[in-house]
Amino acid sequence: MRAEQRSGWLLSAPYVTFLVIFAAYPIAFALVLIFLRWDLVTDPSFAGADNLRLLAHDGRFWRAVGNTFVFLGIHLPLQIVTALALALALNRPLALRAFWRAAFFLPVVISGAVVAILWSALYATDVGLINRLLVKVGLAPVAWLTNPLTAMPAIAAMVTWKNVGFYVIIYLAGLQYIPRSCLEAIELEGASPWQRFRHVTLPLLLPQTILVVTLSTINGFQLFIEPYVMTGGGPLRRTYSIVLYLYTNAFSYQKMGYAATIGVALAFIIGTVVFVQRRLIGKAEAL
Amino acid sequence: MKALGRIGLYAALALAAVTFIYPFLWMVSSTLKPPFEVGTLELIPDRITFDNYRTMWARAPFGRALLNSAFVATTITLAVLVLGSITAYAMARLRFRGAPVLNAVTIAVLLIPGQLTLIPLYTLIVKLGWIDTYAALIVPYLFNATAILMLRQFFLQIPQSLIDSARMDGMGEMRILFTIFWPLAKPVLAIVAIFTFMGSWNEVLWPLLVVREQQLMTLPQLLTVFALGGGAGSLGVSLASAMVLVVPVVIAYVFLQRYFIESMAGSGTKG
Amino acid sequence: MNSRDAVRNFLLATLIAACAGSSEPVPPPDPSPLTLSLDHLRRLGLDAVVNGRPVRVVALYAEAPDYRPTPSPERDGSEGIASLDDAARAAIVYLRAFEMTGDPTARDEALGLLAFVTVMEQGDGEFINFIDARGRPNRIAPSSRKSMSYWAARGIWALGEAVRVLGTEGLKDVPGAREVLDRAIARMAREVDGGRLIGGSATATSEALLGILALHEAEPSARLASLASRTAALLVPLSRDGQDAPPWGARTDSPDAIWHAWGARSTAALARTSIALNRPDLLEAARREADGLWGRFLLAGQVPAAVSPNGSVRWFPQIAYGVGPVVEGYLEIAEATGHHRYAVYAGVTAAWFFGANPARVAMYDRQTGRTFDGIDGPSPVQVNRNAGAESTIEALLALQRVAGSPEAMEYLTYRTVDVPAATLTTVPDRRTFEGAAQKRLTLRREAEGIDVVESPSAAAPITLTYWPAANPSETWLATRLASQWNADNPDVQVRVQPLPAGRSSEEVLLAAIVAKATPDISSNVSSALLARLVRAGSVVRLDDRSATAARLRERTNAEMLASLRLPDGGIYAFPWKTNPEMLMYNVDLLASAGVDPPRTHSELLDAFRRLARDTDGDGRLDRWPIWAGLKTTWFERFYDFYPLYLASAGGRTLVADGKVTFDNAAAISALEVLRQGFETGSLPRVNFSIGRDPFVDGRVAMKIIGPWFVRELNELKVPGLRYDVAPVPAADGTPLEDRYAFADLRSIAIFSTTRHPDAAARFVAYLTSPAADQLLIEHASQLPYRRNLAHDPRFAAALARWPTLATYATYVGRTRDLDLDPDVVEIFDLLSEAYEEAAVYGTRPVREALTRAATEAQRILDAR
Repeated sequence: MRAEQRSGWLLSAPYVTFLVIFAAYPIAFALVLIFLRWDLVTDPSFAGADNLRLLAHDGRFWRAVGNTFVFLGIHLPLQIVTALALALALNRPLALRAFWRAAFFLPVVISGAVVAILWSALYATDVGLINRLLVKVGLAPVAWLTNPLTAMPAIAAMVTWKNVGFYVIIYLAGLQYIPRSCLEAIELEGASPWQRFRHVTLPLLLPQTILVVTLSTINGFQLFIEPYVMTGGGPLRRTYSIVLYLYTNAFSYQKMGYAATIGVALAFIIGTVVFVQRRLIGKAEAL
Repeated sequence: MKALGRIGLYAALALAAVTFIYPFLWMVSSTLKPPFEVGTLELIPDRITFDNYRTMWARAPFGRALLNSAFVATTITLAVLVLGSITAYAMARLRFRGAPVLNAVTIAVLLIPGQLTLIPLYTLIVKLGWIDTYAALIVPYLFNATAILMLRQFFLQIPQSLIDSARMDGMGEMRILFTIFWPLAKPVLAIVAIFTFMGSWNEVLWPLLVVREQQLMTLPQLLTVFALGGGAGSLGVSLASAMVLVVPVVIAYVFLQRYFIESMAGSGTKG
Repeated sequence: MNSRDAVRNFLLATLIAACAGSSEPVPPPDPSPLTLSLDHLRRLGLDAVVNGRPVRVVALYAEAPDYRPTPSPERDGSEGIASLDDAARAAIVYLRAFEMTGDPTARDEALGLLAFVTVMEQGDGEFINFIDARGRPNRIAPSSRKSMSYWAARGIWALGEAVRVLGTEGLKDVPGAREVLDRAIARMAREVDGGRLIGGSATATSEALLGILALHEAEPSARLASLASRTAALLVPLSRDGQDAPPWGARTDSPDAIWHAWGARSTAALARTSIALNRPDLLEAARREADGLWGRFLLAGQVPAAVSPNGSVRWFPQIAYGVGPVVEGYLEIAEATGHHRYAVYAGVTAAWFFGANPARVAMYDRQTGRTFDGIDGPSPVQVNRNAGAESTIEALLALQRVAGSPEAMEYLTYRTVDVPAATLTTVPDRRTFEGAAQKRLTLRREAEGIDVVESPSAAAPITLTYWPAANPSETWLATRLASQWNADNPDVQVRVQPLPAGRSSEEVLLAAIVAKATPDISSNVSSALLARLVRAGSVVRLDDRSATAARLRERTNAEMLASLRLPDGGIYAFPWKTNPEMLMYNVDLLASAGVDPPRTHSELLDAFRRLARDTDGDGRLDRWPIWAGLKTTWFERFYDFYPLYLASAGGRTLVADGKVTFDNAAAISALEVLRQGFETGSLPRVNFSIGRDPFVDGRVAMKIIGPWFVRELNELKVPGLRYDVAPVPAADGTPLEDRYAFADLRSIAIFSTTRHPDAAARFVAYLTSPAADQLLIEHASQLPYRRNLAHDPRFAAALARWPTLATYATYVGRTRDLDLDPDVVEIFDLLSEAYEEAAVYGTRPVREALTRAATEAQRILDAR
């Protein structure tokens, strides 16, 4: 018992050290920064609750939060439905299964920076692939990234495109754990495919769904490279993300205290949202 | 009816596959076109030109960036696998005071977005004198909370009897971990390896902060800087530079993907 | 201590502990930047009334030890108390001082002296020289006779300089001066046309020529150019014999005349003419005396008083009026040839003023600005310690020029190692000089002239890191200049490392400062960044370091520096290049739509309507008048709103004295014109494919852009695209003098982390030399922040390398930059938002959007 105690400490010591240096210290320092006005290059000054007050009334910050919810409102359902659909399709005896899976997964392995650059080109109003296709079939081109109504949906669609392969894999893993016997038994009872899906597959995939929702949500709140590369946060700040706002405050305005405040607020919001989501999904499933 | 359903299924799959693959083909083709043809629908250019690649290669050290990215991502992946397994093993299978706390802290760390600590971490790197070093790119990523939790989750499912009998045989914890747990954990390790590697490979924000020396830039960083900073000058060059990042990944993917599917399939049949 | 302070101190202590890096102490600034004191000259100034008109004059002499202004002694025939000879040259000193410092008292002195010059003219272009203590002109003394001679020539010189420095308008403050100048030039032309030297003297002719050239610079005309050319033609044949036979190319008034050092200005005048008229043959002529006779002076180790046609030499007295013209001559040749070695010669020659002379006495006194009257022999006791007007003025004229040459400045402390030679007929083949830190300089006679060999100081070579901008042309330029520098300066090696181009160079440089990983030098510092850098103490002051101070003097003037001075009066970044934005337009698209380049907002709106086209008839526009960017990144407003605003804002920018100033009619008008463009659909609400500019493809007719774009355009444009530039349109009814172009000035900064600020300053001076500036124009199509750029003949060829660049160059002087405010980026972001809401998408009325942006900007300013 003592030996186990000792090896436990020994084996986790590097991790603990790491946590202290690269997690605890920065977090503590972030909390200090909230109360400072600091441009990094001159001496910091005490700001009292100024940063918090500013944050509470900062329309730009709250717009970024709102934007994130718009993003998630489109991205989450799209992500779950597409991932689930593709996973269900792949979970059958299929020719070229490896190929399909590889194809769906391809964007996942490509760097977000590349995807953002590529999709900027795809969405381009004049020479973009999408608009060329629209024109070809006789439709008017759409200013995807510069129309305030389409910009965020366009980004959400792109992020879905990029990530869905990963979630397909997660769902596939889950599907493969569902006992075939269970499904067969229900089928014998005369349940329709939809009923099978609704009452067996979906509930049994709950852990995967929670994972998908949680990871997508966290990703959504950390949206950065896409607006950074594609829109710069426009049009009309409709794609301004929280992290982009943090980055701008820190590295364009040199407001480290305020940037750190945004970071802390972001952590708080993510925590709350994920917590609420888990509760809701749990409840919905219990019904 | 059944046949019709199958045709529908394949049609849907094909459409999906095209959606995922075609943009890349379009990208390849665009990079091979002269400036005025970029963006046209034809996949095969009238005249193939490598000008975009020549321009891109002449303007920024993409070869070096490729090596940097590979080195950084590989180092981090190995570290996360080895160090993460050790930690997860301790947390899952060794009863010691603090293990539950460590687990809770790890979940908390997972939930804390990097952006919270971004700025303090940046000042820390400055203080350590690590700006423009590989250390700045690697050390903060040596442990990964997601990896630890995933591995811990898996390790928890391994029957205690396996460990007990190994201990009876006089095996140390490390040997148990690497000779008994690791072979069993292959699928999880594969997942961890892949997402760690990808995470590092794709990271742009952090390198943007801590690396300014062009010779040390990772590929996505150099690409972003190159495309956004106006170094590219045209769509073709910009996409050509993106190809540097895509080509090795796709080549590696052919290999990685098979390994990936094998391990997933392996875990599937066992379940 | 209350608890709040305790908390604060604790936090600060924590932070300081966290951030305590080792910051290296910055070495003190170079102890010897050349200070030019006008005190003594001012002390010699007297009020006088001549012909009933109050004027200023300069007393002729000042005797040691009290240096009171003194009239001409009886032995000289009691010429008087003051002369036009001195007053005219003193006026030039004051004019140049005013040009450089903007000091209004220098201008007033100059105007007073010019009034004296004016009243001494006799109605026919001839002048009298002396007045007595009661202000009566001396018409009797031979040295004062009414004539077209020395004093008349100097009158022309002073009045010509006055027009150059003060402008045609400025000279109107001296009633009658312009008429006098015109009459004098006409009178002079008669002499020249008669093939006669002015006053029979090369000196007087040269000085008159310098006046003509100064006037020509301000008011170029074929008439003046021709006069200058004919005058120079009189000087060319005066050079006697060649390199190898006495008097070694010396220019003398007649073949058997003795060459005098005093007033040996013909070399300077010829070199200057060769620049102004682009006449390489005159440069060759100028070099004849300098390479021959003066080269012997260098090897001999001193400048003599006089040289006979047979080469025999009289060494003493050595006076400022003799050494000064040689220094100036060398500097003019350095400027005309771009050859570094002539500046070196000027430096070691000018060292005479600082003690490198046979008497080993500093002739020029930095504190008082006095220059001793001469050296009569090789001993301190043989120094004539009086300090008359001529010595003082001539020293200042020469030193003002030296102060504008970073290369010459370096050698002011050098002393010859061996004793000076006794004759000119046999001089050693080499002469070695020694400067601070045992640095040595050897001048060696070679076939093609005198070679400069420098042996670096004993210390190990130092390395400077230099970050240029990452774009290909600037990187190329930096690499090229650095490799030249490295070859010339083995003791200071420069490593070029292109500034990583992130979202903006500001972010990268600030990050580097935080990391204490700044380079020694960076050449891409915007004004937006500078305010922060200074506040953080991250950059070195440059106007008190000799090399950079000299280059600032050579390149700019007081007016150009005024807006760059920080509250303490210092210049902290070297203003390198400026890129005034203009309205570039596609000539054929405008012509086919019947549109002239718009000058006002209503013309612009009209152009919008007429230039928007659907050429392929698919119901969608495919030709647009202008493309105003949709991105809201702060600097995107450099190409739409901000230049439109500055065009009618009367010189106002965004903030002044902590108050927001952009909530005004000019901003409303600028935003409104954009709004109407977007609303009517003439301006596209789309982004064109990344990277490819639609103007380049001929799909957009106009573009507000700076000259750097010309190079890019020439590289990428569709074949046959013709373009030109015009001023950015202003609000209707904006008077011409209220129009300014936006120019994003880029500066070179030396960071305080450097351990070699002086070496870095020398390198900065090198990067901004005329030769480097020519390369900047030729290879990057960018414009150096340089006075009179558009009319400086040295840059004419470089500017002609690119279409429209010469037009751009004419706007270098009429620009406004970003505010030197630490929060300027955030303010621009606010403006971007207003632009987006009001102009692009029309979701908020223009006025309301601006007021809102102004209110928020004010809040940011107040929160500091």
